[in-house]
Amino acid sequence: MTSTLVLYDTTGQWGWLGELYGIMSANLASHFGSWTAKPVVSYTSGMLKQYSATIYIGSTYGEPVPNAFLDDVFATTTPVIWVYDNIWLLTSRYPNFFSTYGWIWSAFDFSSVAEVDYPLPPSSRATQKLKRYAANNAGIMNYFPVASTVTVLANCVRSDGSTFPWALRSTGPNGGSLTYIGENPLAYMSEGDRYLAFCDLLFDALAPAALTQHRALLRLEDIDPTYAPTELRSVATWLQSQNVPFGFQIIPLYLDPLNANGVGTNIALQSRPAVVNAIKFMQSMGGVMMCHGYTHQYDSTTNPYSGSTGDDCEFYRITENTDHSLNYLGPVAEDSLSWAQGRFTAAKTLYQNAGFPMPQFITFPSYAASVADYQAANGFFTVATERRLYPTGLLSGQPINYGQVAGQYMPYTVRDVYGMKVLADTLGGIDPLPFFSFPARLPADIIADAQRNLAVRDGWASFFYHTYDNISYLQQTVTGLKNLGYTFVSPTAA
Amino acid sequence: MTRMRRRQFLVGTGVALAQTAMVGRSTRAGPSAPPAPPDPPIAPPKRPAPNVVQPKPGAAPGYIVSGRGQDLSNPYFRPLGGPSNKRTPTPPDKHGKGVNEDDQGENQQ
Repeated sequence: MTSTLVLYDTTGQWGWLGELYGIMSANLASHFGSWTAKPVVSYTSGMLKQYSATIYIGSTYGEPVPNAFLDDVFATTTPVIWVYDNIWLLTSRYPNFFSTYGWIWSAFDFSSVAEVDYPLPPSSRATQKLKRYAANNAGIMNYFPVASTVTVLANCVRSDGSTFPWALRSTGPNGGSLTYIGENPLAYMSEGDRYLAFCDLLFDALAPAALTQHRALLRLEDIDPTYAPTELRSVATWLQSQNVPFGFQIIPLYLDPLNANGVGTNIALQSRPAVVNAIKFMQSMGGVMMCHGYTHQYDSTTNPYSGSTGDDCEFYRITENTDHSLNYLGPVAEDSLSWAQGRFTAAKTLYQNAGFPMPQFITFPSYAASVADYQAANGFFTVATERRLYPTGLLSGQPINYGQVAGQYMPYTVRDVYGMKVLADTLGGIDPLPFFSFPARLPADIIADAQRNLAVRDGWASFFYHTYDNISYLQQTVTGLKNLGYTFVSPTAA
Repeated sequence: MTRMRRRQFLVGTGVALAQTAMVGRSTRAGPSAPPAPPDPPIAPPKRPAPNVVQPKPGAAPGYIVSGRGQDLSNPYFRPLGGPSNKRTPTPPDKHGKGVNEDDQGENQQ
């Protein structure tokens, strides 16, 4: 049974970040087996060997890392992945670190780095040019020339084309490996990002025999009772002709309390038999129904756009700034476990009234919900197909703090800290038109990031599409992913 | 000495020490720590604009931009939150099951 020890920082004014990084690492570790998350300051001698592998996320410069941990890392018999800060405590404690492990850090490198190349030879897999947010000025650790016994796993590429190691690995005196990553890959993340290299490196530590395979998932997004049934049918027909199974999200109640769209309001699924029949047709074409909330909007107000189903967030308060960026304010006023359960129960009734059972899959509208909402979902659904929010308090047991929150997309299937099976959501959606500062996301963008996603040896290309967009966008993307070697599978097989 | 000049001085000093250690095959591994980066790894959160956009029919994008973009207010891009001096107890251990383990719920709060 594979098990992972996740160690994280907790001290200092940024100590809360450590809990978030601990959550994100634990989520990823669950792909391989069980995990235990622990503040590194609580580490005691001998813990390393109780687990298959250990991940330490150094996020607080100067965390008081116990000597017991340093000693066990130096003499490890199991894989250790050390991320970013405080490696100097290990090299200071062991003056023979360089002669033993074959590398030594020099200083943080503050060059602009917009690309990380991974994997590198001797890996037989093709090197991918992963993205990196060039304005991330936190610094990346650099090194003096490394010994031939050290494997450089990934390289940073500066703007002038020069490179230095992003991650490296060597073996210690007792046969255990130490993998060091010179920056924190859990911040400044995006699709096709160097976060994927971190996700793949976990295989070396936790599932080294894993086979390389690349699978794809497709969701048809945001379908509500006002959608055009002919479009639903034509998209499903084309997907079936291409042997592409798919998921499709149904919002069972359309509301538009501010009359933003002028097509009416309070439209339940069963009142539109043509849409109901189109849904049954999609199921016959290999489609799997998913729940996408009860109304995909909140109350009778904007949250943040129009108040209309499909436009707005349902389970979380969001406002829009003048530059059209968003503010994630926290749970809605009524939020509670019972409130969320009530919405799912109401959705279930509407699905049943239209002749469908409650879907087993959930995607929260707008990728946003509270802890209570995610917990409520556990009682109604078995799988989530989405990105999720994680506030502080989930590991610490302290009151949940929505002012300290991180989101995460998964590159492979996990069971997250809420206890739900969560499928990969790596590529986002096709969005043909730009929206102010948010650029369009076209098939070429999705395909380019899917190419980068090949860095994960058992990773997924997962994207979504709106049936009201031109079907050529879907066709280009599906064809492009197939050409990259991806195999589309049903969400039920993920 | 300005902060930047001092940081550069420290970096240079550290480099010199470590280079000496390597060239001489000394048992000294190098400086005890690199200088701290000039800023926290995560910058303070962006302040919301004073005026929230008023609702306008047709103003919504094709879908909500939640989770999209390299915007500092996007929690999927980087964690949200500012420095905190609130002292809290050291968290306890937390355990979770793997995705292929049968029963759900252990990870729940």
